[in-house]
Amino acid sequence: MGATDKCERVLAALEHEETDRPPSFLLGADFSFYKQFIEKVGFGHDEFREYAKDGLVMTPPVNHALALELGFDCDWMTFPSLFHFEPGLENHALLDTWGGMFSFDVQPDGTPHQWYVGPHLTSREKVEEWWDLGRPAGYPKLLFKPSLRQQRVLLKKYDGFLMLVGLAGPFECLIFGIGFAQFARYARRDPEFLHEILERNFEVQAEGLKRIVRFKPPVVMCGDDYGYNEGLQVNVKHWREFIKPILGRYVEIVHGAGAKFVIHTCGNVGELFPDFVELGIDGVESLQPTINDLPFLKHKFGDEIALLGTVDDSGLLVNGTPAQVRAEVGKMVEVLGKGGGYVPGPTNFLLDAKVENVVAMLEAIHGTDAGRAG
Amino acid sequence: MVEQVERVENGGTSAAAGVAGLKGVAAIAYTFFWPYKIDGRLRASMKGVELTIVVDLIDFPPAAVVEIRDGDFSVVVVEDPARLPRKPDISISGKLQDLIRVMEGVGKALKVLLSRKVKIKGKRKALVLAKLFRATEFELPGGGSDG
Repeated sequence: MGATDKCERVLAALEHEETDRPPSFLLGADFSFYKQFIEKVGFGHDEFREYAKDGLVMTPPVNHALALELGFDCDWMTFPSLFHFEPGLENHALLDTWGGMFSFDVQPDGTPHQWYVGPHLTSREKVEEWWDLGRPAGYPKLLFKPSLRQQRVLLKKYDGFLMLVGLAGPFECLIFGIGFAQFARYARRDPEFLHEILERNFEVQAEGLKRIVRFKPPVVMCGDDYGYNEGLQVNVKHWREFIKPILGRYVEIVHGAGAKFVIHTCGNVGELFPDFVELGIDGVESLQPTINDLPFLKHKFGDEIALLGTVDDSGLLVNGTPAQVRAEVGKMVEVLGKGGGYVPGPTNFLLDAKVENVVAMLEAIHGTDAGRAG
Repeated sequence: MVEQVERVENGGTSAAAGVAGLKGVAAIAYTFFWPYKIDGRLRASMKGVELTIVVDLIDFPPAAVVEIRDGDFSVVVVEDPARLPRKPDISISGKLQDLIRVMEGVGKALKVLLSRKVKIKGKRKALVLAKLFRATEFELPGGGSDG
């Protein structure tokens, strides 16, 4: 089919329809990449003026202006939860509403950096005190409106550029707050308590998702990293018992509003694909090619679930040459783009990827006709 | 006595040693202004403007002083903002939690401001700063290109 704009192209790909070419996706770009982009390429004068006027020049890692200027078809906007403060935390950390500790720092080269420090709710008592403080707390009422207003501007003014919107998934909310050790302990000795934490977290996320879908986004994408390079972060039995049912409720809310649901999940997650299909998830994003058997996933699940990401952001885009990137991405598009269901892009936030390699990646995605092959 | 813990010129590698030590409010302020500096919005909309901004959160010390000078900025950490050599143009004080509420528009942000849980001195100058955040009419610095 000949998509008339970027949004149509993305939606068609998620519907496994053939498109003029695969749509390209940018998860985000951190401070380092933004600096490199400004130094090596820079914005066009008139374009930047328009982006600024439309409120699209933002703080990394989300920056629609950057995605537009590079020529992507869609990107991601995940809403942060409320931050709290507890005096005396190490490193001047702030607490997110799930109990995860985050710290702002500045790298030696002067680049800002925000990072996860560790879990704060490391005992049952701390979790219960947290609840007594009224946490987790709901999203601020005014949080969503300005960002979702951007969605309208992007769709109307920028050739249907699509912003995938979302919130953190159930696993990240849980693990950031209580940590792996507590998860393992409660899973074995006190599963009811673990269910209760998940349920309380979900109440907040469900309310947030309901507010988001009121703005009728075409696609919702939630971030929930389940994998390490070698496999899942928790065993699949526990994932199915504790995480899957809540994830299914995310999907129900989003599908109930007529939007598509995509999950961003880093690591080697092939083991979960049958579950993703069962839940009706429309697409899986990240899918590092060095640790996932992508041709197999395409062959086995490609008719039911779309593959997003797949371009190695920490190896190929950092260490490769533009020619290597074009060749590698071209091959991927041929294999994974057959019959649609493919939205390629860097597998994670761009950090130290070379700008010229990102440009080469986009040339390979946009210049190929493999997506038409059927 | 004003104890200047670190003085940090923004961006670039020349100030690497000082920058790396920033924490807390100073790091948050630095993070906030950095993209505006890097992509030229600060220089474009703050040309000729000199502003000294103190952010003093009683539950999240030490305080930070942000200095904007003709499109550039620096961040200074101070132990006692009341004893700065000269009066700041804008002073923001209160508790971090209340400031977050104001910035995120939680509940009734106006109520928080009216109750003076978060105090902003130098509101007229703050309007100059607000220009930065709605910067649309400006010229890009030399680095801008059509590519």
